[in-house]
Amino acid sequence: MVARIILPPRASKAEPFEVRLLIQHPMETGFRQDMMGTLIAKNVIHSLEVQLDGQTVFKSSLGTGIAANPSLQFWLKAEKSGTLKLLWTDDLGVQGFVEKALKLE
Amino acid sequence: MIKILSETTDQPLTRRNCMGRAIGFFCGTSLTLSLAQSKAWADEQAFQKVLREITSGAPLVEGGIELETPRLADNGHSAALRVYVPSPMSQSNYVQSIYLLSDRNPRPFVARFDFTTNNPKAEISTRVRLNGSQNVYALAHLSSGAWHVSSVPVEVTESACLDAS
Repeated sequence: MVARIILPPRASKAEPFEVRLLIQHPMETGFRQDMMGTLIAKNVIHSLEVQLDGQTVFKSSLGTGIAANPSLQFWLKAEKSGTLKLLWTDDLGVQGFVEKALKLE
Repeated sequence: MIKILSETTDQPLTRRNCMGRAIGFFCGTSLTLSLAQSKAWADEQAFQKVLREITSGAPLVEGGIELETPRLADNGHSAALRVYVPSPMSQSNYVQSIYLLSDRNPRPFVARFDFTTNNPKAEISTRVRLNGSQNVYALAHLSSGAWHVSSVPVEVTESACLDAS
C-alpha cells in the first residue's frame, strides 16, 4: 500500500460523505539525522489533489508540520458515480497517484 | 570553630564561596532566560512573517472556526486535529481555503487546504507534528475576502523535531 482512498460503505447521490486519504510517506522535516550524523534532506508532499472524473474537487499543500504517513479527511458531494483519483508530488519530484471507484446509490 | 560543609563540594561555606555561587547562579539563570526569550522572539518573528505572507496584511477576524485538538498531546510526532468552518458552501458564499499554522515549530506553515463547490462542508481532519507545547492556528479565507483566525493551545509531552534520531 502506497496510498489509499477510504470511502464510506454506502453513499448516496447529492448527499455529503466523508473521504479519507492515507499516503505512505516519511514527510522528512530536514532536521533529522541518519546513523552517520548527516542531515536527511527535507522531503514532504508539497502538493496533493483529488479529482473526480478528471475534475479537481479538493486541493492541498502540506508542510513539515504534517505527521509522517499523512492522513486527511474531508467532505465530498457528487451527483453521479465516477472515479476518484488522488495525485501527489513530493520535494524529490516523485509523483504518485491512486484511483478508486465511487459508487453512489 | 564550626565548619559547615556544602553537600556538593568539600569547600567550606564561607562568605566568599557563598557570594561566588550566588553570582554564578544569577548570571546562569539570566543567561538561560535571555536565550529562551530570544528564541521565543525569533519564533514569533518567523510566525508573523508567514502570517503576513499568507494574508498579505489583511485584517483578521477572531473566531468563526472550530479547532479541535487534544488539550494534552502525548506525542508531538502525531497529534490529531480537526478544523471546521461553520459557513455555507454555496456558489456565492463559501470557504476558499483553510491554513494551519503553528507558532513554535521550526517552520510555522503546517498545511493549506483549498475547497471547491464539490465540498459540502469546510471540514478537515488530519494529524500534525508539534515541536513542544504551543498554539495551533487555523486561518480561513472566505469568498467575501474576509480572513478568520482561531487558535488553540496544545500541551505536548514529547516534542517532535528535537531528537537527532
